[in-house]
Amino acid sequence: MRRFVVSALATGALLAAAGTASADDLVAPESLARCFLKETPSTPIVQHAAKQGPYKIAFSNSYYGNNWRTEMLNIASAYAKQPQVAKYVGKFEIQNAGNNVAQQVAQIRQMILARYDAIVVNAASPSGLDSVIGQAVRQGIVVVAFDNTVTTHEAVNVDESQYDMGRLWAEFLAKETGGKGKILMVRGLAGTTVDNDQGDGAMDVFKKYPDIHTVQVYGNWDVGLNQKVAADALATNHDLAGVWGTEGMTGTLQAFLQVGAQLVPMTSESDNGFMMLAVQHKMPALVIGQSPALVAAAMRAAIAVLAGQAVPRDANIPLNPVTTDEMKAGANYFPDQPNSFVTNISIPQCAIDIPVHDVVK
Amino acid sequence: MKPPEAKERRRGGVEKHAGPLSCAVGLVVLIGLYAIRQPLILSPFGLASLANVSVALALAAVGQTLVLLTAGLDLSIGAEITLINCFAATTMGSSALSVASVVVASLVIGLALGAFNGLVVAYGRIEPLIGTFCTSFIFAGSALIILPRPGGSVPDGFAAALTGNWGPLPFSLVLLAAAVLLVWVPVFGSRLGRYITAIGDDPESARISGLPVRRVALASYMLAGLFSAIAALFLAAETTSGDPSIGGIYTLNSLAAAVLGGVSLMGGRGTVMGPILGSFVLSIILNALGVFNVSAFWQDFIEGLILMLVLGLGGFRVLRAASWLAVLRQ
Repeated sequence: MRRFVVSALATGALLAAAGTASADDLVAPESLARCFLKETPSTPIVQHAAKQGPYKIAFSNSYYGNNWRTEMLNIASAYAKQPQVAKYVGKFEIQNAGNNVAQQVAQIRQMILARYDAIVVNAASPSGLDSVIGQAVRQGIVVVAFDNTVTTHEAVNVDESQYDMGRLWAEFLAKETGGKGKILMVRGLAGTTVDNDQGDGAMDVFKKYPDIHTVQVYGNWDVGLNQKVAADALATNHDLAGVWGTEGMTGTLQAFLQVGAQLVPMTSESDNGFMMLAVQHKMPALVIGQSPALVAAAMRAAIAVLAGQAVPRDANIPLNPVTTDEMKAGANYFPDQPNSFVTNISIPQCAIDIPVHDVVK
Repeated sequence: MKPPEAKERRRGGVEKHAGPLSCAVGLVVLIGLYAIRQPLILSPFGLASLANVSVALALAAVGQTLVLLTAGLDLSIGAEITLINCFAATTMGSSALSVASVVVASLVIGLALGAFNGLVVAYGRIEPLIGTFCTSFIFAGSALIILPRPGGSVPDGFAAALTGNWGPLPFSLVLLAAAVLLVWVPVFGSRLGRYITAIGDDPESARISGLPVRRVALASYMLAGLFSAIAALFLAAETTSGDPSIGGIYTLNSLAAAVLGGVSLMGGRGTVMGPILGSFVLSIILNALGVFNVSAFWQDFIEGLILMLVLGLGGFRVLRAASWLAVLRQ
């Protein structure tokens, strides 16, 4: 017993030490390894000779008309000003091109001219920037793409695994339902890569349980459409055991509440509204989502490569699943923010911690 | 004393060049302001960047102008660009022969898409606004069928030939000049060009005078399709790939660039330099907003405001007509 306590204390101390180290040093190899996971075991490593800081970093964004992108832009500005980041960053600038590939190409060419050390990109087209990214890399500029990543191997890609998201949601439901019953899948936008990946992750789990049956509908990641398709599905399915859902699940949950249907375990992306309702009704839920703080992870990857550290060329950022009993007001959901607020604004494994008042401005 | 119509003609002549002239002045001022902030923009690489970001829009705007001159309107230009861009990027391959044949095929497809528009509008007697809006969905849908997500590839040599620079001379400007010299100049040196202007100026009297109104309208949409194809090939070179959403922005912006360059939305009046300079001004403003650190949230606002002002300006010119009857007749 005693030994157990001691070792627990020692582990705690170690963890604390690791915690401070990662907060202190953005480019410590062990801290980077916790944040940037290889996408596949064969993913190559990117490492260049270290450059003298502080660095000039530019962020070339494409579209910026939704909550996620707005939070992303605010997080990027806030992260660049945090002391542990600011000591590496001499100049940080954001430019938006809209969904206009030609303008984003021109914007990146202008960043090449302005001699930035690194360019972080949320791309308007996965392949359309390949040529200009090649030009940047040949000028010795580090290019890191995230969220809408790029197909060229000259850039570092930083993203979260949508397949794993779909898989974790499905595993949660399989456990909650005891591996049997009818699962309603409220999917995203048919035909998109993200929807296919999330759906594949789910089906790879569900097909292991012969007693689980799925009903699939498409909610296009939209709250209103989620509510409609869920209401339709509820009208014909009275025996649902769980709901596997992604973005827009606030609508699905509202459809259940509207008809007074028995609440069942549900999954969702990080919608504030969904989390508030889940807590209020004590409904078992699992929330995982693409974090708008991915931009900060991409900035950190750029700084690490400039500082001569190794980063996987295609890096996955760890996911942060949250179940209903782990939901804490003001920590991972925010009752004073609108329903549409994207709640996962921090990535602890990457030592990225953004206060909520920096995200809503 | 000069007869009144001579005076009228001279006023028309001045007005015809007011658009391009003010754009030229605006362009010089813009590049000057830009250079104060970023002197390297005057380097060969910088000048090529400015030319490259503007040339696709310039080609689209010249095509749009051809249709506007006949008092038509082409809302499918963006979708034509998208479709041909996807076609070129998926089929180009890497041998010189395949590149050459895909370039020729793209130009032919451009003419064919334009002919389809022309048939719908001139022979199907559907309003250009509605007709080309509908065909734009057919073209955009076909692009998604060819290339559901961005991809394809374009050989580096082809990309460098269109987007590189030789000293301070960007190849993209050479392409634009070639397109104007090989298409616009011969067309407007021939009877077709005079018919295009005549029909746009007054379709009714053109018809009564026995001009082949429908065939001329058909030809103008085909030429617009041809310019769309050149723009699409240029975009393929600039992005070394195809993208089923790449063209969307060129529809409205080509209209705005044409009007900014003094082309009348009512037909019959416009030059080739107007839309070209208008495109450069519009593209460089959008590009400079980023460089001048204009907040992300204001950029869309300003872009919309410019579009509205420019398109509103076109309407204002109509309202200045001699009598309200003339306005109502438009």
